[in-house]
Amino acid sequence: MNTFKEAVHSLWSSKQRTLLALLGITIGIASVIALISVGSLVEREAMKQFEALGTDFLLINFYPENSDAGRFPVVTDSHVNGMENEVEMISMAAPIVEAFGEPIYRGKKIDTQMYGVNSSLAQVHRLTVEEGRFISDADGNSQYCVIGANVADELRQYGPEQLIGEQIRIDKRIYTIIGTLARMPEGGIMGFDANTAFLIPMQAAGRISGNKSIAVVHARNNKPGQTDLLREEIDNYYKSQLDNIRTEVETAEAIIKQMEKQSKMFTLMLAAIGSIFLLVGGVGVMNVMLVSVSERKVEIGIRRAIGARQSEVQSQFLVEAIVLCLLGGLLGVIFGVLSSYFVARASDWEFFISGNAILIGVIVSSVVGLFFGFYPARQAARLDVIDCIRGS
Amino acid sequence: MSSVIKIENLFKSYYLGPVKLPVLKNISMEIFPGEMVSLMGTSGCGKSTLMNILGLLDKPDEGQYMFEDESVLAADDNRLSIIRGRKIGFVFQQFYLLPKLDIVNNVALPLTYQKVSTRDRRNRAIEYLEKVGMGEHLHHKPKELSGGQQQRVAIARALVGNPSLILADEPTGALDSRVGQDILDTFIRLNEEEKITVVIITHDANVARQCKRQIRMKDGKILPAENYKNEP
Repeated sequence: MNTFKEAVHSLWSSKQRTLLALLGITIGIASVIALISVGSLVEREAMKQFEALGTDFLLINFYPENSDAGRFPVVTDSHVNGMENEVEMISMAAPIVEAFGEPIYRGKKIDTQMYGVNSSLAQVHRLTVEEGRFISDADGNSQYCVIGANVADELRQYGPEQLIGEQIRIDKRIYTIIGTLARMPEGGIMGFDANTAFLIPMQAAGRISGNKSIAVVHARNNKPGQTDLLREEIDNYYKSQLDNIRTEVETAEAIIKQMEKQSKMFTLMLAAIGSIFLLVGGVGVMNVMLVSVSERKVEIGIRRAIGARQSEVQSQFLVEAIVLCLLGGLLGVIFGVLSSYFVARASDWEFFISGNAILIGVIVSSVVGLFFGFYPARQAARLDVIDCIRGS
Repeated sequence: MSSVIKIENLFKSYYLGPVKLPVLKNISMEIFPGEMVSLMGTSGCGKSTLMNILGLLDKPDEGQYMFEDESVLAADDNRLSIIRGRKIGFVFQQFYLLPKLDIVNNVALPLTYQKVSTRDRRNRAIEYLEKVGMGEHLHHKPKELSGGQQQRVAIARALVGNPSLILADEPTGALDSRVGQDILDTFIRLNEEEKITVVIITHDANVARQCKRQIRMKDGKILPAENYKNEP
C-alpha cells in the first residue's frame, strides 16, 4: 500500500513526464478497446438480422444430379407439401418460383425483386399484411400482387395514398395490387428481403418465366443443431420422389457459425493491430522510466544507504510503471468506449459496453507495465550505491 | 566491552585501466560504543574509501571487518541493507534529503524499510526532529530550509532508526564555519547526552580536534598517534 502511495506521489511530482508516458499507453489501450468493441458491435449487428428471422430458418435449392443428363427435374407444390409431411424436422415450408420482369407503375420503373409464392410464405417469414390481403392458394394464376413496405413507399411517391386496386404492368400483363406488407424490422436475410419484395401467385410466375419448377424452398426446422441430419433427410426425400436431383440446404445456423468464425478472426486481427499500438506505448513507458531512473540516481543511492534492499528499490520502480500503465489503461478504456460509442451512433448500431473490453484493458495495461517496467526497475535496483551518491 | 567496529588488515585498490592504485594499505582499527572519533586526512588519502567500507557500501579486497561481532564481508546485499538500515545512520556533506518529500517524511524514510507502522514512523520522526531543534518545520520541503537546517534534518534521519553508529562524511563541509560549528556541537551533545557513537570523516583539523579521539590517515595508512603533532 505504501509503495503504491509513494508511486502515485512520485508520478504526481513529475507531471509532465508522467503525462508523456501516459499518452502512448492511453492511445494503445484506447485503440485496442475501440477496435475490440467496434468488432463486437458489428458482430451483434449482423446477428440481429438472423435473430429477427430466427435461427431455425433454412433454404433448399434444387440442382440436377447430372447436368448433362438432359431433363431437369421439375419440383412441384405437391413435392414440397409431401416433404412437410414426411421430413419430421421440417415444421413448415414455402415454395418459391423464380420470376423475372420489370414492374412499371404509371410509366416509372419500380425497384423490386419478384417472387412467385403461395400463402405459406407469410408463415415462414412471419409476414404481416398492412392493407388488403396476402396471396391465397385460391388465387391460381390470377394477376394479383402483394408488395413490400419499401415498394409501397416508392409507389406512393407517384400516386395515391391508397394502393389497393392500383395496377402495375410487367411486360404486357397487368397486375392488381391486393395487399401491402407491414415493414419488417430488419432487411434482407439469405437473399430474401420482404421490404423490397414483389409477390405474385406461383402459377402466375410460372407463366412469366415459362419454368414451372420450384427454384427454392424457404422453410423452418424444429430441431436446431442437427444440420447434417437435416440435409440428409431432405436430400433423401427428394431423391425418392424425383430422378436426377440433388439438393443444397443452407441453414441460418450454419451461416451464423461461419459468421462467428469470421468475426473472431476479425477481432483477432483488430487485437493484433491494437497490440502494435500497445507495444509502442510500452516502449514509451520503458523510455520514460529509464530516464526517471537516471535522473533519480541520487534518490536511489540515498534510499539504498538508509536501508532499502535491491528488491525494495526494484518494486518501487515497478509499481510506478504499473501505476502509470494502469492510469493510462483507465484513460484508454474511457476513450476507447467513448469512440466506439460514437462509431455506433454514426452507424446507427445499438451500443453496448463490453465488459470483456474493460477487463482486457485493465489486465493488458498491468501486464504492459510489468513487462516494460521490469527492465528499468532492475537497472535501478542494480545501480552501484557509491556511484549514485558520489556521482552527483 | 565489545567494539562497534573492528577492522583488521584492510587492503583496497582501484584499477585505472591496467594500473593498480592501492588506496587502503593494511588498515586496522577498532571503535567502541559511545566514542566520538574523527577520521582525518587530506583529499586522496583514502578516507572516503574507508568510510564507504565502514558504511557497508563497498567491500575491501582483503582483510577482516566485524560490525558488532558480525563478520560483514561475507554477508549478502540483503543482509548489508538491513544492517545499514538498522545499525548505521549516514550524514552526508550534501545533506541528501529527498526534495519531493517534506521534512517529516524525509526523517521517517528509513523506518519505511523497517516495516514500522505509519503512525509510529511519524511520531518517531517528530521526536527526533525536536531533538535536533527542527520541531517547528515539520511540513517544509528541504529547499525551503537553510543548509544548516537541512543538515539538522539529515541528522534526525540518521538517528531515527536508533542506530549503533553515526557515520558523518564531511558534515560541515558545505556550511559556513559558524553554522558548521553548530552542527558539530549537535554531534557533541548527542554523543555526550545520548551516548551515540559518532564517526566524523573530515579534512578540517578544527573539526577533528573537537572529537574525543582522532584518527589520521595519509597515503592509505593510519598514522600512529604520536605523529599527529607534525601533521598540518
